Amino acid sequence: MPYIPHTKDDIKKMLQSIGKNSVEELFNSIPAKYRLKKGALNLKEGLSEYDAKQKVEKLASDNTTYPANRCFLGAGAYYHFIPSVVNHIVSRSEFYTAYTPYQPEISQGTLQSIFEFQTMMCRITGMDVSNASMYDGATALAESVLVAYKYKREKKKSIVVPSNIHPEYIEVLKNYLTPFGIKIVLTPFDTKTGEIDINAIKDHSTDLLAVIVQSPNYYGIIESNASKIAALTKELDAVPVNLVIETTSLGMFKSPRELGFDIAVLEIQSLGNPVAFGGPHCGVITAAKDYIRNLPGRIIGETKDIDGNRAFVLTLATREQHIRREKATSNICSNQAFVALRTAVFLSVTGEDGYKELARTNYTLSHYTKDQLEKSGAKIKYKGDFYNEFVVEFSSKDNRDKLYNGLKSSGFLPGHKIGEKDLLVTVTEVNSKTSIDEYLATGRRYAN
Amino acid sequence: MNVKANLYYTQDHEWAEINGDTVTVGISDHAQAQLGDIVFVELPEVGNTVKVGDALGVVESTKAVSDFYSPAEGTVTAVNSELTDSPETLNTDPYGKAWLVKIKFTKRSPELMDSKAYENYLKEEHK
Repeated sequence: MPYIPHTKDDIKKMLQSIGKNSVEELFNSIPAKYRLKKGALNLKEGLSEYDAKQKVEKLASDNTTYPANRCFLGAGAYYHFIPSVVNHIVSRSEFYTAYTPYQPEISQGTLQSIFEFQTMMCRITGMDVSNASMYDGATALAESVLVAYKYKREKKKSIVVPSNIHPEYIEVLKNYLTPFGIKIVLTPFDTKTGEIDINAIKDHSTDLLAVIVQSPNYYGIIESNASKIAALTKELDAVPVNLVIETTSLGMFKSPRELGFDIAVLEIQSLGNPVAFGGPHCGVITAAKDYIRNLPGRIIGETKDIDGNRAFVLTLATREQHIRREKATSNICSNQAFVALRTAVFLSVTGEDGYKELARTNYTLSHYTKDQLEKSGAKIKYKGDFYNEFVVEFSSKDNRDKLYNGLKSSGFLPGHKIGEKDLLVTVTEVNSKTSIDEYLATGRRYAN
Repeated sequence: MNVKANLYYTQDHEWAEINGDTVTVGISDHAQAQLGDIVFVELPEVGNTVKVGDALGVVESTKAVSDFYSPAEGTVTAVNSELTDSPETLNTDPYGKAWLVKIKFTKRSPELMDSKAYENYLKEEHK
């Protein structure tokens, strides 16, 4: 069958039926000065395949790449070891698809992988239900506020967001929630511990819809009052939401459900996904059962086929266009299937013991790094306990930048510059003790 | 299709039973048949004030999601929360056990049909 989108005749007919003379006329509403004129791009002659390949290889060789053990950068995207079995399994052609197929007749493998993924997400968060995943952690967080908004029957419109959560997530919240008229109240945090100031939440109890607690927070600190905040939020008739961006941490700390949260939002890049140009990322919303009908996206369920065999189907998609038509309240029509699949394979080969050990290794290595830095006279900004990231405070911007540039020229990614004169340092299991000691020794050469 | 006598009906296929100043609302046998297997019901909160034509809640089947609307102006005094656990009652007993909402009303919709008019309305709709 020839694939011809439309012939000149088709175009002519279409133009006639809408009363236009040319395709260009369709764009007349855009002022002429903004319209691209033919030939304006001044494109060069095409290249042969071989020439194009050489050109791209040359461009690629201009990139600076850092070996894993020399990367001390995190701040929302984490360098973790990915067992080769992950790439091997997800590269099987059965999983190749440009789109997530949901037809149970032909997609049992994909549906089962999503079902198992959801089960794993529930197990690490302690929640009853998980959606099939969505775009990324930040948009999942914004969607979770809409879950709370619908759960509370759209009556309350104010959310408390402590200012120690990831700044880019706050930007996405503003972008996503402002059109709904939902007010974002940024509350201060304790500048000594780096933890949420629980009193600042109490001050905003009117019209309170939800409180967001990120733990470990943007500065790597474990929120030691998380369960108190969750309880207080419920007392104020609002929904407590737990955001976990560094999801390896759940192998070590109490689950969001144990802490008393109703909703847990995850970013799962850490679990089996690389940091190629900062991604790919993938968000998940998990929740207590009461919230299930308000979850955006899809939920895969287990059932039996007509012969009584175990089978998997798209079970719930209560807010989407194909079921709610013009009354849809979410336009998330698929999931981040490939990243979710990688995560499911990663967790299945890591296992419960491996997952716990991974978290402990991150904790131990980062605390070793912090202790050594303190011994060398570095100032650790916040006193609260942390997972695998912490903030080093310098005496001046110049001193920080001098150390940063020195480490960088020595082949390290030193961390993430934050604030006036601080550096957010991340240590994961990929940073061996030897590479940490080299990082520290190199740092001392550039420190004042 | 079963159209129960002594009830009023709306063009959106709700039934309304008026008893003093209280109106009980449900969906008609025709509505449940059109929707198919009903799997979920969302009910309003007791104490809500409603106007004629306001969406009272949602009935969801395996085929579609539909709002159901208020035939009167007033205050919601009761909801049938048993339907939350057994929404399929709407398929089996739409005029009985599966009532949805009771409203203490001050004004009722002027467009309510009696059972005869509703039967004709269904015939017209299916011409």
